[in-house]
Amino acid sequence: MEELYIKKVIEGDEQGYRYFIRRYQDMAFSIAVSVVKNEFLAEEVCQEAFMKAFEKMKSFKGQSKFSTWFYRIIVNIAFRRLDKEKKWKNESLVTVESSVDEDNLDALESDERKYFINETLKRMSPNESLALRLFYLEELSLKEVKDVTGWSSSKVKVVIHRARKSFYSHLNALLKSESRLII
Amino acid sequence: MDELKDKHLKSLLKESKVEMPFSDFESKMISRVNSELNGKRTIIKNLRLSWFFFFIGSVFGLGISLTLPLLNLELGGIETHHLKYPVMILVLFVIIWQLDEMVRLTIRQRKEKRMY
Repeated sequence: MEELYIKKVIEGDEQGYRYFIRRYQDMAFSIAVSVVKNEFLAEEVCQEAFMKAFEKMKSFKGQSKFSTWFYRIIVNIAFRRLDKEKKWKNESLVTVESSVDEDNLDALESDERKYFINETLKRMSPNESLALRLFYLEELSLKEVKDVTGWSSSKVKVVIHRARKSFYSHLNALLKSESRLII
Repeated sequence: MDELKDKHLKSLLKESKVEMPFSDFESKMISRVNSELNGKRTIIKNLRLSWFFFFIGSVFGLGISLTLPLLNLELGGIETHHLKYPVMILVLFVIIWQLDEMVRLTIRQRKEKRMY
C-alpha cells in the first residue's frame, strides 16, 4: 500500500503527500516533542521533516520500513534544532526509582494521568524521552531504535534502562509535589 | 532484553499518546509542497526557454555576422565589410559567455534534481 503512495509522491501527486501527512503527523509530532519539549518547535520540526522526506523519497530504497526511515529524519532534524536552540541537556539528575506509586496514579482521572505522564516526559532528557517513546510507545525493536537514533546497541539498552528509572523518579516526584500542593 | 520489558510503563505511555495539536498542519504542509513543486516546475520551464532563446540568439548573431559583409551598406560612415571581424568577435564572445552560464545552470539544476 505504502509503495503505491511513495510512487505517487515521486510523481508529484498531491494525494500521495496527503496520505503520508495524515498517517504520520501524530507520530512525527510525538517524536519531535519528546526531543525539543516545545509544541511550536515540534511543529516546525515536523514541517521540516515532512518536506525533507518528500524531497528525498526517491532515495528510499525500501530496505527498512518507511516509518523507521522517516523516524530517523525526524530525530536528526529535532536534535539539530535542539542544538540550535541550545537547550540540549543530556543527563537528568533525579533519585533513581524503578516503580511508580500506583495509589497516587490510580486516584487520578485519565486526563490528569495523561497530563502527568506528558509532563514527566517533558522533564526527562531528550535522549531518554525519545528512547521511551520509540521503544515502548511506537514498539520499535532495539535494532530499529539503534537505526533511528544512530546509537550503538549497548547505548540503546543503557539509555532505555536509565530512561525507565528516570521516568518513574520524575513521575513520583511530580505526583508528590502535586499532592503536597493540594494538601 | 527481558529486563527492558515493562508492561506497566507501556500502558502508561499509551495513555500519554499525543496528537498533532495544530489542526491546520495538513493544509499548511500541502500548500508548502505545492509551492515547492510549482517552483521546481517553473525553474525547469525557464531553463528550457533559456536554451531555446540562446539558440535563436546564437543563430541570429552568427547569421548577422556572416551576412553583414555581403551587404554593400554603410553604417555610420563605415562600410559593413569593415565591421565583419568586430561583429564576429562580439557575437562569439557573447555566445561563449552565455553558453558557459547556461551549462553551469543546467548542471546545477540536474544535480539538485538528482539529490531529490
